Amino acid sequence: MAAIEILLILAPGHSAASRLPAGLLIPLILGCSIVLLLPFTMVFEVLLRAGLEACEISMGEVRRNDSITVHSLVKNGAHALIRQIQADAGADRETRSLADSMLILAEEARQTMLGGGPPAETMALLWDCVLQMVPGDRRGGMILDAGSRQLQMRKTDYGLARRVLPDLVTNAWKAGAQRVEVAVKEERQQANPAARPWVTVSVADDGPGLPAQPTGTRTSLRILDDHLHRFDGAVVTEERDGGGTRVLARWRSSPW
Amino acid sequence: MALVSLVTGVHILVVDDFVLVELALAQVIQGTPHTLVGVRDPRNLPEALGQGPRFDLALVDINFGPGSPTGLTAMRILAELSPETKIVIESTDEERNRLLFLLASFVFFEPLALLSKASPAEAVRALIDAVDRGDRSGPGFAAPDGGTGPGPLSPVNRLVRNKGCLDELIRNGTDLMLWRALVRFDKRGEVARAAHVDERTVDRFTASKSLVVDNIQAEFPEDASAPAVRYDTGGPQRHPNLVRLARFAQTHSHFFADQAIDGLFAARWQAPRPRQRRSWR
Repeated sequence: MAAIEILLILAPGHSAASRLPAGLLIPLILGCSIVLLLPFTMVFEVLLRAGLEACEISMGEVRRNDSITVHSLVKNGAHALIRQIQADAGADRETRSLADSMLILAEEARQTMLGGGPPAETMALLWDCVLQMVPGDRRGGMILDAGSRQLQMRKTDYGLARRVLPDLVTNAWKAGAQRVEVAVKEERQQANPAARPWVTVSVADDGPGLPAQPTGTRTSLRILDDHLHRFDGAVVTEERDGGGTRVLARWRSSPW
Repeated sequence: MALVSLVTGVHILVVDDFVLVELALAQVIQGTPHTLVGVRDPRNLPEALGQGPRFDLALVDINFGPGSPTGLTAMRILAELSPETKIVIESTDEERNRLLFLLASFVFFEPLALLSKASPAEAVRALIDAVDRGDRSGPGFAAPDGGTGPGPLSPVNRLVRNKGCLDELIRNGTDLMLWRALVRFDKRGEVARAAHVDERTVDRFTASKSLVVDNIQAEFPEDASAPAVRYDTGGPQRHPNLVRLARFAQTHSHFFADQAIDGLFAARWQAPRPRQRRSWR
């Protein structure tokens, strides 16, 4: 049938088709087209089914990889949290901080999966995740310095920033600050450019200032300070001109 | 600090992509003579091992996230550059895709112990103290023969006893190619094409590996319950065993995709080794 149709279309001047009346020729072409359509439909259906199956397989692979990522990130956070509770008498503050870290991790995993590929561990990503922990009506007052957004950090530095930043920002807005200005910098020593740079996270707010704490109280800042000592670092607080507080968390960048 | 660790205490290397794990461990060993250094990525190990004093103990994670090598690479580097460092695998119990990684770890590297990330702080301290004393009898430590005492085997000794399963699962390069094909396909023709073998080879592979997978899942029932991706292909399966193997391969896709296993298995296949009895009996 297909051959007849092709013959009718391509060689009307040579074949007997040219002698057929036009009234018969057109229905014949249409009839043959329908017959020709059937094998085409079948081929398309096979192709579409194969495509669908390939899509399902790829989706399965994506789901598996994503589930491994989410599982690893969130379970790691949960286990670190549990271990901390067991090991540290001042666990109440640290528990809150680690629970915050887990929320950040879950948000990071979500954003990374949406973007596809391994996470670009930039401050922009971390800041977007930190903002998700701040109540919606307070987010407008949270400002990340424009120069800090594209800062790409080593894994350890990023992990420490992920540990430090949510604590400092949460402390600030919970203390009643309306505006919180954050800057993250990596500073090389001019005298020795080959030395490991310092990483500084600065969180400045317009809040009422730090409340007085009895000596020896395990505040979240003291716990952070303990952690940063491992990296030659510390947490320093200072009053801002015109009111408010600036907290500086500083550590020596880890080579690994 | 480094000088102190040479005299007393264990100098520990934590190989984990998650800095909180290092911070939590630092809390655990606070007040002890043990010292700790963290590395986030196995690729940084040569640099870390090249600096400072020798590490007595390395706590190694299995999964370092997308785009990074796995714990097998970390253990290979440790075995090559610091063979005297004792390895303890730190892993999350709930990871369903970790079984083949763990078996491979015990086949290729003989780690000292398996430490669950859910272990309480006291158990972690006890393990480090035992390493310090040179005592290998504590919980979590692997017995060289997988343990011979009565009662149920500990998780780590179950792995040691059954590490031969991995050799049954992957006997040669063709097996490895077929497993990798099964991660993506569950039809005989597609698997054969992807692995560059004929369909009869796929049939032989299916018949022999189905038995191995049955035995692995009998020994490690938690692995058998791993959720597998199901494709609705309409109607009964023509090759149900092949589909079952494909589900197993999909569960362990991260392992089969790990480039580190190519080199490890290649070296193993080249090295002469005594014929081993099937170890799950």
